[in-house]
Amino acid sequence: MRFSEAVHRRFFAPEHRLDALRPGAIPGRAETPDACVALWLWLERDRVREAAFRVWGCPVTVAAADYVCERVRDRTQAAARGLTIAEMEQALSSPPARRSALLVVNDALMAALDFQTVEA
Amino acid sequence: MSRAGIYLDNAASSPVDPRVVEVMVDALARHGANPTAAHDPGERAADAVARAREPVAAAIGAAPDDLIWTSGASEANNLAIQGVAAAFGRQPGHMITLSTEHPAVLGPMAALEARGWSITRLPVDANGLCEPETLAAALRPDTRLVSVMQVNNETGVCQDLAAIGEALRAHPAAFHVDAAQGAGKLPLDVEVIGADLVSLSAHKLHGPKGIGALYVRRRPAPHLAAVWHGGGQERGLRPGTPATHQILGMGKAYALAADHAPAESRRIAALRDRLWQRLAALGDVVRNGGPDRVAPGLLNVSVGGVHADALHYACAVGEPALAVSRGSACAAGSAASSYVLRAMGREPALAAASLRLSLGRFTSAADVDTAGRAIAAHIERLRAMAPMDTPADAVVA
Repeated sequence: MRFSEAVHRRFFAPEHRLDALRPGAIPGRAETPDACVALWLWLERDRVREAAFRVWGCPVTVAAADYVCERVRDRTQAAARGLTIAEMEQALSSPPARRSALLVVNDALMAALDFQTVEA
Repeated sequence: MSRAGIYLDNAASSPVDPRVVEVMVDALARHGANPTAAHDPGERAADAVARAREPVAAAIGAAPDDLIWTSGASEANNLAIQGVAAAFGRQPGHMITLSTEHPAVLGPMAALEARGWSITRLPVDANGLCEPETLAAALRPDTRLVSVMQVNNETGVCQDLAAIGEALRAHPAAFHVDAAQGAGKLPLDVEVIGADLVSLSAHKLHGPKGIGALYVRRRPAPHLAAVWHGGGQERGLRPGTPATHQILGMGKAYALAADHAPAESRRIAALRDRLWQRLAALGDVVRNGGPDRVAPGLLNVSVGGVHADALHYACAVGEPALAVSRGSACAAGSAASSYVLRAMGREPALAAASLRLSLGRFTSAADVDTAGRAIAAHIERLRAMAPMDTPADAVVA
């Protein structure tokens, strides 16, 4: 099975993979038996200044994590919370059968945003 | 290297040798008659079919007339298993096989089980081997058939058929061997192992798809009844007009294999070992199947720290594209972890993150080196992408 061009490109050349953990990272993590997603957000006041990910998962999970990091960058936390599964699905041209991959990435994002909220 | 990439899936199907193609094309042009027809063109076709039996039979130490042509090893397995069951009429008995057998053996046995037959699926050890003593202990007075494959299609593990045959010698159960992956590549003698039924394939040996054979011992003959009925061809066990060009292609493939072996086996085994050394150097890569009992062309590895789907996708559509398999190509479409590797004790994630790399006559050293580099690069990239050991819930100050 060949995935969409968007998934293919982000899987082979993700731009937001975390190489080294820098200070100030707000983590979020979500796991299923078939995937583990770790996201880190760097915040500046109410805005997400930068985001990065690491993933153990299928190509769609990798691509979704990369997309989410790109999508939330320079957005307010409220806007980041507004990211929907439908938007991710459309942006990645991902089939409904792969929705679980998008959900685990979305859960990791929400965990990071909640983490910050709790700590604040 | 073409855009088609590197082909390392010879255990699924091997590219047809051009010399086989030549024979088949010639057969299509010259042997249009029905080889069972009683006229000159038919007899010429029959002679050609008879000659094609010789190298196939010789590969397993059988006589040419002991072979029943089938559409492939899957059909031969079905004929052997269902044919033995049919011979016992309405009295369901007992059959024994291994938990790691090919679906073409497990499937018909499961179908018989649904009709009241008792099926024992024996476990294997961590190396994929079945102890002959375990098999002997499972025999019952009503055991009608024991089916053990020569070479496992996923791991390449070779069962000790001589020892298993010896363990069965005093029992009247028929001994069936699925030799689809090994016949023509590895020594196999039906007299030495005491096999009554042996399934053979052509397309695993650089022959055409759509043709295979079942060896059926003549003396003493196993209890075997026809499961299809028609014109009485192939000793009444496989009706239908023999596919002359397919049969001649299979004959040529076996003749070529005999010409090439064992030098070809040595060359392929050396390439396989070279590929293994490249992957083993990465660490946390496990070879499935004890190396001293694995067929030359097969390497099955489980890779730690990577997701199965990601690894397989990277191999399949990366650059270069690698035609590899996650396990049996015959478990089509299944993304679940391999039942063969699970039976050998592998954890589900590790059993899923496995690659079956199978080499053949046309695999070159350059292919192996390029594929080894590409697979290693995919594994390193995916491992680098995996979450770190650092707990994700720890804020880095």
